[in-house]
Amino acid sequence: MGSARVKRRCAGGKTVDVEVEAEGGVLRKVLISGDFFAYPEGALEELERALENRGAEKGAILAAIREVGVEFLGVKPEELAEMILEAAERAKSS
Amino acid sequence: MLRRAGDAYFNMALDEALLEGVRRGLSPPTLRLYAFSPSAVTIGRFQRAREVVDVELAERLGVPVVRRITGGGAVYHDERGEVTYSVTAPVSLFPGSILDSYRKICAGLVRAISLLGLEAEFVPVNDVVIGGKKISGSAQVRREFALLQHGTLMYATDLDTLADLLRVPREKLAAHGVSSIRERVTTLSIELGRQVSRSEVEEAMIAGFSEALEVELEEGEPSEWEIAEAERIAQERYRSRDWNFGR
Repeated sequence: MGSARVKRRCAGGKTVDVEVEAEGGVLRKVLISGDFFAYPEGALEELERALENRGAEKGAILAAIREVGVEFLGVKPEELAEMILEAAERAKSS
Repeated sequence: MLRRAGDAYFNMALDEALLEGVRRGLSPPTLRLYAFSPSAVTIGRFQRAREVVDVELAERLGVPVVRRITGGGAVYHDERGEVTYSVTAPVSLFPGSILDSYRKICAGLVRAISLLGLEAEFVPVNDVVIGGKKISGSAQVRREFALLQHGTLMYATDLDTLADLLRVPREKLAAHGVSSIRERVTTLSIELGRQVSRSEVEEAMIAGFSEALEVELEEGEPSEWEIAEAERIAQERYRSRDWNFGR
């Protein structure tokens, strides 16, 4: 299993830092940090759990965001999904 | 409206108790104005403490570092240089989007600053700036149908200490066209070119929020339940090393 981090200032104006552990195209652990906002309370932590054992692909990540019903301020779901994918990709070669 | 200074643990806990009080129907919508005694740093719920704060320096200076339940960035709360506010209310009092509610509450700060003779503007998501420099940052959390928004208004913050304690990513400063945090922030005293007192800032904030939120404020004290709940939450959450440094 490999892990990698991707950190970026997003178009929404906030800094987002994604740390991913992945194995064979599957997300094992995702930690999303930064100075963005997520609603309602607890939704970001719930999303992190919902991403565990999901396939590292954009549709699956966006589906998890929708299922949890998290609303972000300062980062767009698309941007976040792309960062998670990028970290998962890098984790392969770590 | 409540005024009461406390340490960082109690302050964050009382804001959360007021949020919980609104959620359970035990607390009325409340504006709270307060100071941090001693000076403290609060960090956003999702931040990594050691990456955004010089934790060793904070320890040396006796500055507690506490994680908020709200998102957003790290804030230096200078005991003698900023007023922190919190607004707790049912979400139903703020129709529209989450960003609309930030704008509406921050309008109270913009109005307060204008009463002091300066022109400020709200910059989404959560800043109030004067001439492009940040003078206030706010952060909101929503728990079911209750919201808490708290934030700082700097009137005489020691900006050198602020710059020493907070670590701001270079990309963030670059995006604002500055190379150090010192160039990116300001205070009411700097902008007005005179020493601004805490009490005049508080009075302006009371008038500003009252106008912007179209409410009549009545001064009060936290209820026994709010205090007891705050003490419980301070112990369980905000004094916990795991909560403050666990991310």
